[in-house]
Amino acid sequence: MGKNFKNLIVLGIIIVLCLVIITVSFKGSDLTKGVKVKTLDFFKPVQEKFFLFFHPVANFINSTRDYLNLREKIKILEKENSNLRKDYSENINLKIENNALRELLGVKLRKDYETELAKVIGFSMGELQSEITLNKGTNDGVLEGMGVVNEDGLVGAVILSAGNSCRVKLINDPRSSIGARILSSRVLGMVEGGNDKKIYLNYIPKEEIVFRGDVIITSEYGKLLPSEILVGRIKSTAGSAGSPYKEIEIEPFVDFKELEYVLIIKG
Amino acid sequence: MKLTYKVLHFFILAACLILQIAFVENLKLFSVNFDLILVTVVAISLMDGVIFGAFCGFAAGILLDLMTGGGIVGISAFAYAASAFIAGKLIEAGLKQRILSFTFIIFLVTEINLILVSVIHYLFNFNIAISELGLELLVKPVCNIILMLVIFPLIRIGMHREYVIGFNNKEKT
Repeated sequence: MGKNFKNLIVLGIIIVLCLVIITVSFKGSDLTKGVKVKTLDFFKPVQEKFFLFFHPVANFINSTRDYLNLREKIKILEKENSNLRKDYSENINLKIENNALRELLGVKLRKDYETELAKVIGFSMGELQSEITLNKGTNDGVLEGMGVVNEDGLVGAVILSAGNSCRVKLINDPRSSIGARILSSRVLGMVEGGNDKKIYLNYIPKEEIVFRGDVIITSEYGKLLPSEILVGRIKSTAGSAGSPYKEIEIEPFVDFKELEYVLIIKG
Repeated sequence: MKLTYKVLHFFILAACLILQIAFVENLKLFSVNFDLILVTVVAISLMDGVIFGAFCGFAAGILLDLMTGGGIVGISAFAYAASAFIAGKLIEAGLKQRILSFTFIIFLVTEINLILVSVIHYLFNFNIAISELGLELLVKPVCNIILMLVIFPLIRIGMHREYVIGFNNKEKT
């Protein structure tokens, strides 16, 4: 009886403690953020070592998966290659024409962004979140809200920056929301992650005509995220009866399973 | 001696926590959904007692929440502490310390843990994808049961006969 009572008291204390912590965390206090930053910094060296040690296993799984899908991938790439060849000659002419017009108008070419190369040292892929940890933080000039890209396109945005590491919310995270455009029609929308880990382009009116394969880029309305970064292409469109907007699913250009090195856009 | 085991088990849990974040989370991308921390916390609860198990669950959960950035801190701590408590109570209630019982406990605790976390998130206005949750309710217990076959003997290493839990019932003379 005594032991049971003691157990219940301990459980009660833990529950109350958890409820207090949950409430403080939910209110989003600076204290919680500070503790998170300190914890990230403290565990970063060990986490990095563990990640590097086990990375070959993840690579092996990735390679096996790629090998199994090779035939299908080759077919898709061959088709894409023939389309790109068609576009190539047209684009060269357009580039020459564009440069000539810029010179005439006195408009400067877009400057390259200042970036910081970072290595992925951790994944967090729960039902309610898709995040990665990078080995760069405030000591390297990384701030919250900065965009993260790789050679394929947009990866996500920094949500928490500690001294020597930071956490990045991927674009398929259910809480992710990024301003975007359809490249061909210039229509504005929001790229948002779904609960099913898919990515959607929301707030596109039903009357807008969109095509499967249309490319999505970031819009110019992001605070720290530059415009015209490739996000993905439209995979499917649908419309529900009660909604004034289309339901558009996007296939991202980035393969989140193969993230290893990324660039943080500093400005 | 018991204290030595408790300290050792706590360090194993710390290593599992790092392993979960640095490697096991990565496997979720391939739809392999192990919960290394849950299985270790349950094993500790069964071998070191309910209170120590619940404390370990709380500590590991808090650290996990702090290290995985965006979510609300405290939810995992609550879920793991409750899981450890439930597992310990099931054994105290009369379940025999055999591999079948442990399989049942891991299955039950994983399901409760998933539902508990989803309900708390729902109460805090998060959207829950029922189809995803349903899939996880099917896949995660199976993965955790496989993991149990590795973690339970690891936690048991060096312990006396009275702590031996079903994996080797015949004692050498």
